[in-house]
Amino acid sequence: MKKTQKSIIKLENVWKIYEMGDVKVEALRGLSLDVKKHEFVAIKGPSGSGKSTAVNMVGCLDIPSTGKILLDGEDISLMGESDLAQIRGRKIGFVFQKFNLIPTLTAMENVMLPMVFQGTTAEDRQKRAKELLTMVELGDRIDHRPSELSGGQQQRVAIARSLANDPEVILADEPTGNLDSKTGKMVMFFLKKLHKTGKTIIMVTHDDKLAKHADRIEHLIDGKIEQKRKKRG
Amino acid sequence: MIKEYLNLILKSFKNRQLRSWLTVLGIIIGVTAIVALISISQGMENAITEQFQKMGTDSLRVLPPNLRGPPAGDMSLPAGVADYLEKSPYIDYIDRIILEFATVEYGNEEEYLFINAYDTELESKGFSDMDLEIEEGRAFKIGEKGNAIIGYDIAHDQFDKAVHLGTSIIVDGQKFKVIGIFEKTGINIDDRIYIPLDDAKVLFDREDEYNVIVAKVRAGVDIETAQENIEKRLTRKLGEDEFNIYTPAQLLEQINSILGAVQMVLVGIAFISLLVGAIGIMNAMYTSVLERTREIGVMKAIGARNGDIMTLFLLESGIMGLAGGVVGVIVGSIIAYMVEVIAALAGFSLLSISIDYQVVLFALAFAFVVGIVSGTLPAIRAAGLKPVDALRYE
Repeated sequence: MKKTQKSIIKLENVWKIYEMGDVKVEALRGLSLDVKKHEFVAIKGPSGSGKSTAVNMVGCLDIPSTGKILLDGEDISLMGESDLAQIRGRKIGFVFQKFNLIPTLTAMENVMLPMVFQGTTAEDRQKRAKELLTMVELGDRIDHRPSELSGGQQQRVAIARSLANDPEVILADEPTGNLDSKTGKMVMFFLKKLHKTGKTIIMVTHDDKLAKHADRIEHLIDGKIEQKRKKRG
Repeated sequence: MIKEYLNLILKSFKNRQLRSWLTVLGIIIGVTAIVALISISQGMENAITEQFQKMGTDSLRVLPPNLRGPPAGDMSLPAGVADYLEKSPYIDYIDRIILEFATVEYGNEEEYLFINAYDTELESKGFSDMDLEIEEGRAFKIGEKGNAIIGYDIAHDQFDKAVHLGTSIIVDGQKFKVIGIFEKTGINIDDRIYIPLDDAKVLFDREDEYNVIVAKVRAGVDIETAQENIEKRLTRKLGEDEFNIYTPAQLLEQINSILGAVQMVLVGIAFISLLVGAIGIMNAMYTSVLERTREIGVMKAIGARNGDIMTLFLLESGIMGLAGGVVGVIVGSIIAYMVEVIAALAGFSLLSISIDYQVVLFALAFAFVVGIVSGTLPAIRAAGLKPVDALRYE
């Protein structure tokens, strides 16, 4: 696997503090993480370790209380919400635990949606969506709605959707969490396949077996990365 | 871009069809009311204008004061008006009219009908002024007495047995021979019986006590000049508030202003319905934003800008309004045409409804705007949702 030294996502001493009335909750306490291009990184942590907050930060869905997040060298806390949405749509593809497909749209339309927000032409959208659905072996299901698909199929549609704008990073948040082990393996197969084609994969999980697929595992404990590293890539 | 949004919106409607229709019911009712009311009152205005044109444009009408509604024989002009008008240099000839309700017997039946006394001195001049044609029989001859000309409906529908030429009817105990039947007009003339003025004066005990006088202005005389001069001099002679004198245009204006006021009230009520509809849409949109919070979060995560979400929800509420408008226009048009049919069945065949495309366009545009305006606050809320919070929403 080809590696460069260039960071794609870099978190520098990120703190996230939620204020709930008088109580301050420190969800992240100085999280630092450097993900290089073409890496496959697993972030592992028990519940309550700030995993969800970390996903939001890495996915540029939220802005830190203090600290810096650099997406491809750009500081996201300096961006407006709409600019951030555009960049997020272009550079990061999300695969969620609960699939999060739009229930009223067909598989094809779900995959085309991220391209709509980037202003891709209808012709290109259709071509690309078909290619991607074929890649995840759902070429014969393009007109099905999520409710007409199995969990594994829905997650594959979600993977196809995450690739719509050809992002550099795929952020998978417990991608097999709602699937049985067999379909979970299939999803992992596709994520590894993507990694081989040169995508950067960041996967958040609590499952040791899944984490082993990664080049590098980062342990999140008490809102920061534990300084012990396994299996350096 | 818009096309994709429409696709998204329409699919989301499909998902909650019944609820969407219930939501726009208020808009449907409001637009229905507006389209139906405006079309019907425009039809009525046209009908009234047409009727006035039938009355002739070069005749002044002298009516008793404080008349509310059309002359019905309960109020009459002071004595002397007819004599004055007859001598006026502006006037060619006058038509003295006595109106009276009277019992009319035919066969074994007795009805209470409207009698219209007609000055036989005018021969058929007055009838042609009113654009009245006799379908069967003939008009009055000068000085003729004891004969009657009857309206179309009186002849054909009023009594169990049709009234034929040459038969007799008894008005207030006095026998009249039917010598003519008017053609169908679609207005109140169909239900009237015309008898000679000289007979009416005796029968109803009225000497120089007329309900209406129609004064034909001499050729070449400006009708407004005639009206002003006669009004001035007659007021000097009889005093204030003893009579009213109108040109046809003024009468028309007066009636239309009454019609306009009625219209305003009805349209006002229709707008209240639209307001209720707007609140309904707003409520539905808030629910929709809440229900789709997660979807909004997903869309934002995959690159939707605040403006995209805003446009999506505004379009959705706009389309709700527009859909309500379309249905409202259709239902309103159907109602307007039904009123025309019912009016014709009831004998008022002059009412002819035509749906003005401007009214339709206005109604549709208005419904769309109402939709968008009522969707604004919910759309702002949707656009302002933070992706993290929205994604966490269950």
